[in-house]
Amino acid sequence: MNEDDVYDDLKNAEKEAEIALIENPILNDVIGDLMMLDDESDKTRREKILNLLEKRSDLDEI
Amino acid sequence: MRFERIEINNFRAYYGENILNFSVDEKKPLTMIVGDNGGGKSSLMRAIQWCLYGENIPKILHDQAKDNAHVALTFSHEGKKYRAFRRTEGGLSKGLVLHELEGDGRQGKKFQEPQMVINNILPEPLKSWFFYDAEGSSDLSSMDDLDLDGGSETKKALRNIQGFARIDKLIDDLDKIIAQQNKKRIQIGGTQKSKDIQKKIDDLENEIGPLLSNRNSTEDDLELLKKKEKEINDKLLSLPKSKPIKAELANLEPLLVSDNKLYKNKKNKLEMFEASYLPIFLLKKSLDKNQQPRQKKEGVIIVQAPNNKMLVDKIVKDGACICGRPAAPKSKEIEHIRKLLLDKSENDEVNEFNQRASGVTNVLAIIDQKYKSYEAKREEITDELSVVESKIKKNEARIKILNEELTSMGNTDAKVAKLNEDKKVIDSKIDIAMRTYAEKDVLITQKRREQNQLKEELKGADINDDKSKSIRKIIHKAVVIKDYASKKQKEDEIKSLKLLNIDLNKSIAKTSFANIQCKINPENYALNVYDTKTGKPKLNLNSGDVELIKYCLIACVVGQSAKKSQAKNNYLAKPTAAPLVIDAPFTKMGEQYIQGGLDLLLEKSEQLVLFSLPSDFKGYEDKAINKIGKKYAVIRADKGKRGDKNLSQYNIYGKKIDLVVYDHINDDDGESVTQSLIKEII
Repeated sequence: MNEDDVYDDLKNAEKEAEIALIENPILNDVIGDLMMLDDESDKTRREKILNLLEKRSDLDEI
Repeated sequence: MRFERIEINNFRAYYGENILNFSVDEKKPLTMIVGDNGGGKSSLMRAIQWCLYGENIPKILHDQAKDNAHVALTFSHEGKKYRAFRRTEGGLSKGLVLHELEGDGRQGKKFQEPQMVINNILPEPLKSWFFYDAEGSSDLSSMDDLDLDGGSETKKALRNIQGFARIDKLIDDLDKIIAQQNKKRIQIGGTQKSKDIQKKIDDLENEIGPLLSNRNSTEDDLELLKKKEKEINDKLLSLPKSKPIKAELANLEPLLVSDNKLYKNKKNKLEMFEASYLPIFLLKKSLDKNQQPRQKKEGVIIVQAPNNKMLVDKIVKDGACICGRPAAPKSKEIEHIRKLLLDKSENDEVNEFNQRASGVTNVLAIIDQKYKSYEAKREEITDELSVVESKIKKNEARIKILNEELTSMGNTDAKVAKLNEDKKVIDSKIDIAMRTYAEKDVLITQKRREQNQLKEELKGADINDDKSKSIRKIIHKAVVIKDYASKKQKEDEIKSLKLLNIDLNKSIAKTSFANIQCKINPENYALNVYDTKTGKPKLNLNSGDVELIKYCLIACVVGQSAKKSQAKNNYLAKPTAAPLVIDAPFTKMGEQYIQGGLDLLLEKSEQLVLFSLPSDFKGYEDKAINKIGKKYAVIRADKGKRGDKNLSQYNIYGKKIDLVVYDHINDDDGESVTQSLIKEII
């Protein structure tokens, strides 16, 4: 890779970083909730994730 | 997080209590700590980390301390003040105690899970970015740990600081849940064929389980072995080096012999000189001796050579006769005396007397002159003698210290040989562990491949989902979330890495004139360095370039973490803003880059604590003069008795500081204690 490529790549990255991803607010919200369960033990955490998935009916349509 | 104060008690080199107040001035965020090697800088850095994380440190308690060791760190975070406290009991670390502090400094709320609170503020896996021991002589992270060639450790560290490790865990959880629910679904509505496939998948999973745990435990063993290897290497590095001591002794001892010889020669010269001047010396002393009492006794000047008018006038003025008898002024006797003394033609007796007196005067003058030259020459010889003497004393003292050091070292060579033996054993264990890891890894990959083929087969299998609709829903939700999280994580990771890359290159360009830029490889996080003039990869980087890039990377990572704290713009990563603590920075970097390096660290970090060697201190001080809020010296105390306690002002590194020059005395046995002291430089 030559110098121009390096700089082009970085310039693109800068632009890219400014453009927000197409976000899904519902999924972001669920992931945010799931991340809150971070400090549980593996078994408890997975049970809680499962419970949360069961409860979130708004995910059915996605 | 901003450090405010640390209290260290009986911790490693520190005996009794030592306190350091960090600079909390936002405009002067730099706290400079200067000290020689072995002065206590690393102990101080370790004290902070031990207090916060309780990591395993050998010999926490000061050798001669009677009480337990403890460290208390006061810090502020997001508008609140905290006091973290950890102590030892029976030589072992106790748990962290964390209090929130009230406005008046009193301890308020006590946290039930203090370690979790600290980890939320500055997660332990990230601490290697914030506490940097550039000397790399401790078992803490060192510059060498940050490998520009990338690799799993660097990738892990960078992913950790960006918060991606947490989302990895969520994706893994979702994977497990999907597999578990799929299994349930087949049990309920699957055909015999699909159940058979599932059974094969389960069987493979049962085989993979032990392989995984074996591989993981081998990985843990490897980590431990590598840690041990590093400990041995550190010990080898930190072992007192007898070679330079012996070399110095080999240099000093012949010097002492030749100086002693020189001293003897000069002493002989002095004796011979004194002997040669003995008559003059004796005459002078004798004259002085005889003259003094008479002068004192009679209060008159003894005539020396009454052969001229001036002398006669003086004799007459002093009211004295040549025989020493007082005469009344302006008396006939005086006139007679004057006449007699000056009459050279008629009175033979007087003439004869005058001639004799003149002879005596000449002799006295010669004696006086000779004596003066004797004294001057003698002073010259004694000066030379005392120069040689003080040199001998100095060298004798140094030789004594060096011999004591050699004795206290014991047999260093034997220790080195033993450590090298241990290193060989560890290295061979590392080889075996690496082979085991690779074997298990190959087997796991193979079985996973088989499993994946079966899973694909299962997808096509006929399953009656009428009885397992709710399970299908859960699987669907889990798959959607997992796919979204994976995609988002990948995009975020690339974005975040690129931003870091841009920041890094801007920092390098700002700091250095070396025409280098980097590109971080997203696969392995290796830093590929390019020459901006030629556009070609820059090979054979010198250690100064490497150090520069590493400091730029640290500064950028720390800076981005702090920015994240302010913006809270990334739900994946928990924000982390903490002081940057660096031991012995810029040791390899070119002098022309240090200013830029310092500026960059100050720009990117909210609070900066730099430990420096005395030789570098002045340079850093000059370069960051407007940013220094606090300056401290850590010093190894001189030996002495408690009874000798005296407060002295010492000139240390060009700064005057007060220092108590004595060692504490252990009251039980009266033994003196060597310790490190923290002293503020004002």
